[in-house]
Amino acid sequence: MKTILITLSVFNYLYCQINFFHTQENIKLFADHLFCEKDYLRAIEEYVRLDENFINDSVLLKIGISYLKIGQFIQSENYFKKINDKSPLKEISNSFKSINFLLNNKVDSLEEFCSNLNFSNEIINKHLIISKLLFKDELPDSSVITRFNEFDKKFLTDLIQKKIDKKDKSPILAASLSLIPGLGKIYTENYTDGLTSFIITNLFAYLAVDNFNKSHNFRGYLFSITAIGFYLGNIVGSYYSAIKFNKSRQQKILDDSFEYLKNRNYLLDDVNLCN
Amino acid sequence: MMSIYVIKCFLVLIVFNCFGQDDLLKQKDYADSIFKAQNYFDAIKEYKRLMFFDKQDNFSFYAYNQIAKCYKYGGKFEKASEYFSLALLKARNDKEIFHTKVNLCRLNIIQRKTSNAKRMLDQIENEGRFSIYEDEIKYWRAWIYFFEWKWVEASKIFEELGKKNLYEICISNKDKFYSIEKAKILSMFLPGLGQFYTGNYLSGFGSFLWNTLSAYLTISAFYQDRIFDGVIISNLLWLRFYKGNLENAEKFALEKNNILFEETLDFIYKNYSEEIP
Amino acid sequence: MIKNNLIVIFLIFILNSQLISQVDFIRWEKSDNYLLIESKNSLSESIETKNINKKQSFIDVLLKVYKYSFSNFDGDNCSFYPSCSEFLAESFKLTNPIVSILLFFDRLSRDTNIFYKGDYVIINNRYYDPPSDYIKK
Repeated sequence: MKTILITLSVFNYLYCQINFFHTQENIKLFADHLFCEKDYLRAIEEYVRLDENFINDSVLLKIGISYLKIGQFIQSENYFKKINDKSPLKEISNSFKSINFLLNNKVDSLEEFCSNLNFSNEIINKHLIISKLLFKDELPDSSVITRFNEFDKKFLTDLIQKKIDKKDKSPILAASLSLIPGLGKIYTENYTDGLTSFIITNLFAYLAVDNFNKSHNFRGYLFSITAIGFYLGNIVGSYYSAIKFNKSRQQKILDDSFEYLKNRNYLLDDVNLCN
Repeated sequence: MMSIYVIKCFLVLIVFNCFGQDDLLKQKDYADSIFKAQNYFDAIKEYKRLMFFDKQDNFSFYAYNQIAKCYKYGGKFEKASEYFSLALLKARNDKEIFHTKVNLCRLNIIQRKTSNAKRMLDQIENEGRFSIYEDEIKYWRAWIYFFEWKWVEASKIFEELGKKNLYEICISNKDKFYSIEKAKILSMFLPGLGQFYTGNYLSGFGSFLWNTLSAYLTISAFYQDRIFDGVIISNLLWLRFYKGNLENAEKFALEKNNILFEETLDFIYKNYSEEIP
Repeated sequence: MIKNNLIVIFLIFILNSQLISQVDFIRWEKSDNYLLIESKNSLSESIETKNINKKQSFIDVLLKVYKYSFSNFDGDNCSFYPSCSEFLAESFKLTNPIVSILLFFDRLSRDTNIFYKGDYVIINNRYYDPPSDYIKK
């Protein structure tokens, strides 16, 4: 009787030392909560504590998405791979994978990935269309556009329009226009820079001529070197400013598109892992 | 043969063992232990767990407060202020409200947003119901002065509140810190003098040389009746160097003061960590 | 080439925006002294310049002479970041000396622009205008 009571109380003591919030079920519940709170790194840390029996496709998917969100693409890939091919979640994981390709500008990999799929996935197809348009300037057929919903259709047609009337500035033209100081800058839409450069080049040229006339030769040479520097500098500067203009235009299209896609949750309308 | 008493005693023990420590309290202690070990990233997770399972909201004020502190000690002030604000929503009595508000104010002090901190203290004072905490409000006001390098004002309050250590630090800093106005005015009269005052002799000498040279060029151009040249030289050279000279005087004084201030903060953090914002 | 650059810029943009906006997406430790985090770190700046000085070329030496003999005394005039001399030093690494010097003149004339300077990203109250915006490596 005595021993029974003692063992009972010892067991009881040990039992009470277990923290109920750290049992497998509760870890999973809490991890899901962290995932939905968008505290992705801590959610991963919790999911990883789960036993084999508790890791199912939905957990794998959530771990993969978490890694994707914190920018660890390789890790997320590893977890997406583990999801059973027959699981309905596979399609969602594939969609998330294709976001990965889209964000990293891997158009070819995305295309390959898309063609290797057994079932056609609408979202991935859309991603492919957008990334081809963004990075390869390949315009989609008009029939394709109808597959998008109202909002996305507008976004897509806007994007196509931007790609069609692509008004890149020619660096050579900018440089040649700059034979008249500042004109090249005005062509690349840096109006005040053009004006300044016109004033400054002429001012130093005037100073040089004036000094030579008054036979202050040293100052004359000094001012002429500066004037020539500004003149040639403006030509080269206009050339590169046209390049910069094109570059930032392209960048702006990219930024805007990704901003839109991010707000639209990368077209994953029906995917909601948090209720 | 065991008496019925012994069995009863065991039973009582078993019951106490199990219910003596509620699961939530256990989780709280666990989180606190991680917090004490200064493992703040993980502590946040445990406090979040505490809140997640605390369906009756008993611990939410405490947990939000602790999470905010974790972020603060990790140097993530934006997050810290977010969580202090959440804690404020969960505060249940005047004491909790006051301390959370003061915590928010302290965050502002650390971030050098002293005008914000001042406004918050004013608000707390105007509310009236916190009049019992008058001394504490005063104390944090002194810290605002401290971070604004207003040593006289800060030292007065610290002395009044009997904080001798802090008072002495203020007094010694009052003598040590360079006066930015003085440095600028000195440089205004003689280029380079302000830099001499802050101990940057080489730079002071350089400033003096460049200013003299460009002044000479300007004056000689005017002297030769080449007014246009003179204007250009004075604009492009002399004014630049004169402006640079004033800026340097101010920059050096500020730099030296910043280093002194950093040393002070380091000293305070190591020695009086209980009393800092 | 342009595309590659864009990708790099874009990736940096994405990573930065994620890491900076979300504090908890990467593990962090207790800060050494949280009072010092917001201080104007004059000490770290000098460490930075020391690191740069390790790899010195002839041009770096020239620029240093310019910096210590002239630019340190003429005040804070440049409204761009990197400053004009730093711009020159960086563009030397990207392209040939003639183009660098001409771009430097262009930069000077843009700096004298007292009107609207254009759409630059603003960092530390300065217009961010690195040579890599113009020249691709």
